[in-house]
Amino acid sequence: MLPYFLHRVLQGAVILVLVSFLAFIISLAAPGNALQTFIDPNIPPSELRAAEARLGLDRPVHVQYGSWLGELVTGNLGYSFRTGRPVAELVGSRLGPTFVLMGTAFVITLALAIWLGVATAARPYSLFDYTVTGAAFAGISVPSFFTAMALIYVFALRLGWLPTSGLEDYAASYSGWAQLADRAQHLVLPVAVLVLTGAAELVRHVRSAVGEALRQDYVRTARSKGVSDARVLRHHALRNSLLPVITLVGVALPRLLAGAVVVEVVFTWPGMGRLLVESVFARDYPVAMAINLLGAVLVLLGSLLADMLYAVADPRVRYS
Amino acid sequence: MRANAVKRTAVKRTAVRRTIAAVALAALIAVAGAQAEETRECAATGGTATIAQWSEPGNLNPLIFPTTYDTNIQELVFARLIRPTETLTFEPDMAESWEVSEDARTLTFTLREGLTWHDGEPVTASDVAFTFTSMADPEYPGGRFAEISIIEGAQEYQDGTAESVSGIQVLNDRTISFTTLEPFAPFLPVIGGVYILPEHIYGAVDIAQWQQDETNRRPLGSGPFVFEQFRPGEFIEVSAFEDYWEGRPCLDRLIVRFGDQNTMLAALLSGELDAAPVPIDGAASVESNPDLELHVVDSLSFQYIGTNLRNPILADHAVREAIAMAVNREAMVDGLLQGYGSTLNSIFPTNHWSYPDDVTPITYDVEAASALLEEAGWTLDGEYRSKDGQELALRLFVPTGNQVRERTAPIIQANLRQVGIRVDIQTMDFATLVTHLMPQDAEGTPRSVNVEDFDLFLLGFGIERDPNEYLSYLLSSDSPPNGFNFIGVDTPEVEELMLEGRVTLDQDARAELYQEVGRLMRENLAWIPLYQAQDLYGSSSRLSGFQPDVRGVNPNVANWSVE
Amino acid sequence: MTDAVATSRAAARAPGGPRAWRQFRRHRLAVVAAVVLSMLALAAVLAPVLAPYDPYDLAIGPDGQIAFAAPPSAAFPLGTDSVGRDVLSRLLYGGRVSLTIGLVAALVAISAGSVLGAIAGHFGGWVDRVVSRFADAVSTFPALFLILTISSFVPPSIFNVIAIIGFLSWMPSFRLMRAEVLKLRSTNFVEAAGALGAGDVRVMGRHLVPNAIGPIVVQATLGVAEAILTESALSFLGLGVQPPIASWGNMLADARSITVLQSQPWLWLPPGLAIFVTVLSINYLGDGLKETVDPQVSRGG
Repeated sequence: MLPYFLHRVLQGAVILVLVSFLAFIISLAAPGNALQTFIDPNIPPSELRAAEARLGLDRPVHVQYGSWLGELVTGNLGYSFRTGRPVAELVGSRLGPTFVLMGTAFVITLALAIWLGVATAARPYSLFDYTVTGAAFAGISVPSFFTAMALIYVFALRLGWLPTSGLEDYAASYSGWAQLADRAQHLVLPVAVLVLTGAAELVRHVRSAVGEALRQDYVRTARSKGVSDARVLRHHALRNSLLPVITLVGVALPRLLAGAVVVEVVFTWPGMGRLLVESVFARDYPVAMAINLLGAVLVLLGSLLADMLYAVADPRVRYS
Repeated sequence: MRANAVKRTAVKRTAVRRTIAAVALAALIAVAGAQAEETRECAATGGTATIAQWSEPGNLNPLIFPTTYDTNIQELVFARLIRPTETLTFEPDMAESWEVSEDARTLTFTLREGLTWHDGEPVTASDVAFTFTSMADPEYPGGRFAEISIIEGAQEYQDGTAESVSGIQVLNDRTISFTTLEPFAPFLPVIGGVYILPEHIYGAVDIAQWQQDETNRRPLGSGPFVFEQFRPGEFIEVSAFEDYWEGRPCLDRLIVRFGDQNTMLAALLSGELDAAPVPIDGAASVESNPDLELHVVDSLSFQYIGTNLRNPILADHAVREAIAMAVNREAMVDGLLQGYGSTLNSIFPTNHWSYPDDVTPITYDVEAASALLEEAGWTLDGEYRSKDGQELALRLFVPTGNQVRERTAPIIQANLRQVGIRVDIQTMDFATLVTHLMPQDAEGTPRSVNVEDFDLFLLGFGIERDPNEYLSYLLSSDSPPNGFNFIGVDTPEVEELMLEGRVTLDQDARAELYQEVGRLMRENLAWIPLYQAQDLYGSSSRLSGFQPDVRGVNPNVANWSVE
Repeated sequence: MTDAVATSRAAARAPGGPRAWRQFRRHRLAVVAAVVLSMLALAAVLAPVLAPYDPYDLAIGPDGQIAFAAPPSAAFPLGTDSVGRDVLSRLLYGGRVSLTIGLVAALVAISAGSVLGAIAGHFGGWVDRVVSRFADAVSTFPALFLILTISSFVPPSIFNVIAIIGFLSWMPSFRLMRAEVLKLRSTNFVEAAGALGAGDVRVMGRHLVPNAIGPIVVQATLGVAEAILTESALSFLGLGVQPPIASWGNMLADARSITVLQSQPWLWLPPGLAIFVTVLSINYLGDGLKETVDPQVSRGG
């Protein structure tokens, strides 16, 4: 197992270098640099050029990349062009909110998808099945920003049950349980949007995986032996459908990160996705690079985790 | 660095004179004392207000490339020697008075007594000297040297041939003088645009690291509010400065949130914000909300169509005039701005003293525009005109970031189609537009503009503090890569007037000079002015004292109170 | 479940045409979806005929002034937008743009993916390793991250939007095709056929394509839906199809504004419904197709 693990880590590192180089080329190919995002009559072009030189923006692409990579290896992610803030600090401060948002959405999505997926696989082609399938399809047929706006309009503006945006009520100084409750309240709508789109997709996959397992011969054998439906479901089908679901978990991670971008922007959630949008528009490539890299690391970790779980779940699988 | 030794004059008086002096001194102390301890009338004291702005500030050190989003916060934490009034003249802030020398080259400011920084240290003239000297430091990374390059000795200090800036003189703890190379009319606005930094804090940081240093995110100044925290992506919190010279602000705390304009509008409507800027299409929602009040404020910026005078089509004045007359600017104001704005007929904002009120208006006249084009040799060939085998086609570059401005593009396209001009709209983000207006060659070295770079573009401009800001846009010598004259204006009379305006100190004479520039540029139409939008803000009934005006959102912030 | 298996077995033997068609027809919803999609596609193709106005023309209202954001009326059945253009015309032309983007992007994705997959599977060795690692690298990006980064550097045009979405979605079809090629290579058929040569191509054509085409078509179908949704997300962020060209995505993006959402539903409801119906139909269609080509279900006899 260990050599496999190491092999994967090495592979991951190679991929990361590839990924970072790709992202770098792209970022630098963007017309305009961080200092051209505004024209200020009080700051003449000569000053801007001097500032560019100070930031190293006048060097050729490969030199800038090499320098960035060199710094990266020593653990220095550089400084934001726009604000001078250390990138590690900036991106680090956004990790928490992103994880909270994605983590909560992920757990709820998984629970909902598994529950509904199993339930519909147990009653295929029934009204329940069609309704859930219909709702699932509906969930993935609407652009997520629209779902978000609609939810804000209904629940925050019209009904006033929930806040419109932000991480918490910034003016109040809650602590302890009150703070938790306040933050939970602010989490409801963004998570709802992510769950609506994420669960919808996952339900279908779970349904087909469980349905597939239920069609296996050994299941029919168990049934013919008189084992109850519920036991069949639990002991046989569920365990075997677990495998494809685990692989889906690995795939779900990058999708969740991507989906979070729109949700974070609409709800002004201080996460990585929104930071990426802002830094891309500001041509702030140290920040954009760090986020892309971090996203890649998270995805690689996720797929590695999925593979590990797969090996644990299925004794037939052996990694050499 | 402290300047020359402080001079103290010994006074010898007889007993009578001594008494008179004592009385006078007592009176002076009383007056000075009263000035240092002004009190404020508050509708209510205490509480927290939450407002919003549409973008996060980048830098909180006022000497680093400030944008409006930065200065909105810096205004709360820092103070200046003088500050603008509603009519854009200047009133005392930290300086209680100032004098102009006979030759008009030296300004001497006297600071108020008893000013302190947020950490309790006293504000002295050497802090002021430090601030201005830093802007001339050869390692200074903030880009604002050009603003103060007019100070005597600044260039030498910047070049490294001098140890200090000779034109900045600290006369005593409370007095400082600035001497310029020549009489410089906009110098007072320049002074009014520099927030003073505490030397004991910012002087301790290597100036080349000013942007990366913590002080760029944890500012300390002498303004009405003390900086508390900055949560990136979320908000900034400031609290009242107890010893503020003008009296403690009424509020205890002020929270400034940042977010996209639509989300902030939603937050305002749902009662989560006490005040926020409102996009034009949100005005109706704010007005119909009984808990909210809509504030309509004039601004000093306007939007225009820029032209590339190197393009032979656009070099022809008749074409520019036809374009100006074919665009339905009133429809833009009525339909896109919903009446919150007006058209303008020159390049200065209508509510500023530099705007020539007697300027000839640009009329919307489609027939006259067509006739002009016809006379210029552009004949209709199907839907569009052509001359000598060349089609009358122009590219219009539209930068994103201003929704109303983006929406004028299809109107311009449709309007110009009516007179036979084909317009290709290309939308791009602002930084990309800049690469067209101020192009670089293959190696990345800035070069001059050629006819391929752009034809027409949409952009905004206006006055921040003084019409001298237009200088680099109108001097023929300041075409890229030297300056901002990407349009390629080359009108000697305009140049002369702009240069004269710099050195004319008499306000009336100065106004006349710029107004003449305005008239000439109206005739010239190298810039085709479109409209001047008003700024909208919404505030909740919970917040009193909210009075945004042409200076921005913060005037009167120290008087805001919440119930 | 036993019923399903029994039914499919029965269906396999019953008369009524090719088994695939019968199974497809069984999924009535999928058929309905196919019909709906054909109608939408037809409307898009016939846009110049159906649209009452030019989508770029400013609508002149009865008073001779430009009619900004006017509610639906006799002259303008779906009202006018914030710049004063007819919504119905823009909806039809926008459909052209959105559906084209969806179709072409999906086609680009499966073409690129299939070609790369065939190459990687066929040549194996370091070619396979390099291309597979490259596929892994691109998949490792959360898609929107990469799209965002690229979109900021290319001028946003329809062509570029198609290219970006297409070139970032090739990985699934790459993997499918590669798996099929590898499967084929390991069968006796190829070994019996002997050395590489023209025979190989024929083999690939005869066996590879029919087997691979099923899942790839399903992939393509879902790809169209995904491309349409991605275009909307890009429009919301300001990086999609740029005005004045209409697309369902950039029309829907107007709903960002609370005022529009609340008081001007004719601006976002038509494009919103159009996207919803289209993507929903594609999903049902894809679902039906999947059950048709899925070897598990068709294993009846």
